[in-house]
Amino acid sequence: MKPYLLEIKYEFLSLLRSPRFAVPTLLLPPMFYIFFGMLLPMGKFSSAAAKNLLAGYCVFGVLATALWGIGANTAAERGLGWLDVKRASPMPPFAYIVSKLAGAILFGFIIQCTLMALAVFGVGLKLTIEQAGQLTLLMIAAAIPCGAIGFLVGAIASPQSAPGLINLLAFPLAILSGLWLPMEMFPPALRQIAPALPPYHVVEVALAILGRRSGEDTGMH
Amino acid sequence: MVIAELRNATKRFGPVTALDGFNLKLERGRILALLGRNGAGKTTAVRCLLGLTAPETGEARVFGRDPREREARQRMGVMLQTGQVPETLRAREHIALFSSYYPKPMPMAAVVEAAGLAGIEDRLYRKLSGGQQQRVLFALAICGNPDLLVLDEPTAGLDVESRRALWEHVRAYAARGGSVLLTTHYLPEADALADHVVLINKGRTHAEGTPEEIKARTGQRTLRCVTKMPLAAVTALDEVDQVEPQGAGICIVTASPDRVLAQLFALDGTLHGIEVTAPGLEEAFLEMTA
Repeated sequence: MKPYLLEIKYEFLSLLRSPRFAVPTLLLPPMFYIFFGMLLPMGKFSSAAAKNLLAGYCVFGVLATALWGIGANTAAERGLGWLDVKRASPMPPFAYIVSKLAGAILFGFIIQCTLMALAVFGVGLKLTIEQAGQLTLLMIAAAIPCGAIGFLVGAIASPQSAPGLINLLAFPLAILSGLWLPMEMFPPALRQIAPALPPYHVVEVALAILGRRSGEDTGMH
Repeated sequence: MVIAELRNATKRFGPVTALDGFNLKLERGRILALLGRNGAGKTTAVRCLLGLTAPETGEARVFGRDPREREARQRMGVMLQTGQVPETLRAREHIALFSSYYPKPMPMAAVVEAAGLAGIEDRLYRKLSGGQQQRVLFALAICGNPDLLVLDEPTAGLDVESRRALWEHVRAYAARGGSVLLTTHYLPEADALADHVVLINKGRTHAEGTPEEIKARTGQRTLRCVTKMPLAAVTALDEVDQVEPQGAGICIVTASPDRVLAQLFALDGTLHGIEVTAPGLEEAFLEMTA
């Protein structure tokens, strides 16, 4: 157990101490939330919009952490030889994957907590402990497929091409799944794409947890 | 006792044959240097022995096991050439993590001491100099108290002082009873550390022996001196390969300058201005493997 725990601890510390990673991933979602959720509506409280944005930016936090934290770092560590040092060592076989995934989950959790605090204290959204717990479980579940995309990027991209590839994946995924702006603002043609993208469904489940009934069966997502 | 072995290993990368029926045996307690120029197959040989890549034919065994087995890896410490090490961890944290992989790691204080990291163990990897970073990688290799240390080009890119410091740490490890396999393209490094040298070229063993034997094979020395003897008489001496006049004296090319000198002194008591050099020991070695 000890190597796994240490591996997770140092993966997390290492991410936290990398300003190029930690600053944008931790600050962007709350900044967007403040701008679109608090400043733009100019005090006109809309519970639906607050929930929409909370769900969207939580999922964006997980997606960005998984792609940058797992994808870009794995590509660099594989391409420049560090992964070989780890592979040649007697490291337990799953420690690498588990620690990278745990790092992404922990970062996603920090982002989620910041966003929930903003929603509750900044916008006045009512959030029960139960809803917060369910949302956390959902984000952990979402981190696994997002992490898988991250590992895939890490396995195929070179250290130089990984950031570009990640931008190409992350931004269209985020925008077209309605993570940044509510889908209602999009032209109908673009709205058709969303159901084909995985993050859209995570947002829909999150909205069901937060209590915005969309009238359809959540189980479908 | 043989603790690490490559048997008839062949490995190709497209049209390039990196290893061509290569054999290697490391005896317990030895320091073996695998010497060759870049692209000779050194790193591929090491990667096969570490189980990072599998030879197409032949096999690699470490402590009688497949090197991919964790039991084999727990008795090995490895230092590879790497361009990326998590920079935002402290030396101490890197060591603590790698120590946790091994059943009986060295105490942290002993690792810090044995790798020369005292005073800098709490610095972030990023803030260390090249020599200090290399010592951290060395610390990761020895922290598990391994029976075998595998070092791939351990001093590549280091300045003379850092290189010598690392050599001292490797010697100290060997003095505690460890076995070492190191690769280098740098002849003086093999000379300074190894008690057995394997010269590899184009994936094959080119020569093998003690550093002295290898050096004897790689090379001729240049002996300069001032003598009254005529050129023809010097040319006729044993072991003299070539003689040329140079300035006030002569320049003799020979494989054993000591024996030539003994003959010269016996014939010419006024012999002076003696200078023996090993011109281009590196070049001679490169020539040998060309």
